[in-house]
Amino acid sequence: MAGDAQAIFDLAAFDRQTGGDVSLRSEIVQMFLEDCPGRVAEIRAAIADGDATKLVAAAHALKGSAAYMSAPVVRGHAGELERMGRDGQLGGAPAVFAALDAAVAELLPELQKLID
Amino acid sequence: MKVLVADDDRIAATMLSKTLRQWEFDVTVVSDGAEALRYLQTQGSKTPTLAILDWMMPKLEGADVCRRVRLEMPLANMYLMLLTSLETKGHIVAGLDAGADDYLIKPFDPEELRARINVGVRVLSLQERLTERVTELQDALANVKQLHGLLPICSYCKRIRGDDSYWTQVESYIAERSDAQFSHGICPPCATVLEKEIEEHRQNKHGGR
Repeated sequence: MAGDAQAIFDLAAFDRQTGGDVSLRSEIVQMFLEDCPGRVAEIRAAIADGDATKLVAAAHALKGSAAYMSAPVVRGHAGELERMGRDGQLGGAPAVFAALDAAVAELLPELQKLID
Repeated sequence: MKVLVADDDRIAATMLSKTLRQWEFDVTVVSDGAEALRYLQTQGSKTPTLAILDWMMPKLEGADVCRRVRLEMPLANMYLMLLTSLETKGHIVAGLDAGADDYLIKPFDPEELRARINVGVRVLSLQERLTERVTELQDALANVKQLHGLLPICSYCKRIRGDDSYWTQVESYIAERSDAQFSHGICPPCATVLEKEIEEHRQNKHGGR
């Protein structure tokens, strides 16, 4: 399990990104915990509506913030959904979204631990 | 040094602006492209400004901000960096073609960002010094220009006819139009002639008695 947790969130990379600033780290984690569920909901809705433009915007936004969170798995799935949206090929999107949703479910508690 | 951060994602904007403030930059944050363009327009052409722009933003995209700045303010001293998670070669080329000076992929690496910002600061400082030098040269040229052209001069008394048709002494004409000043004296050839004249005058006077 420890190996999986490392893969979902890279604490060393995140500390490097925040320059070891503890207050910045807490602020960013708090923002992500607040914003992430909304972003995931936007992606879910865009796939359900078959709206490729909305999918690109929502997945791109989540990809960007996941990159700053040093969360490579979520970033990867969001990037994949963004590409599908750009190509207008949403056939495989529900499967990738399921993987994204699972990764987010794993990531958020890891981040929550940092501010508890 | 003033730095503009434009990003609609608050996580990206906070991470970037706080990092820049740790490095003691004067940071302004905006959340869409139209606001970014407005800020850059109010900086005018002389304030050196570094801007770090996201690509996908509401109202105006980062690449369009670059295009508008280069088109509307071609002489503005601005260093524009695109910081985006659009990482294809096509986007990089299009971003630089739109007028960006540099292109970085999200998330920024703090050390790399610092080094690239230093490049920008160096370019901005160089351009600022060049602008100052050009202004100095323009001022100097304005003075020299007043002494250009064909001057009508009296070949006997050496007075010059000015634009106002008055004839003035050559030294006052030049003094009015340049930083030159005159100290009056007598040169050796004239001194020889003058001594001769004085001597002749004295002899005439004696001869007259």
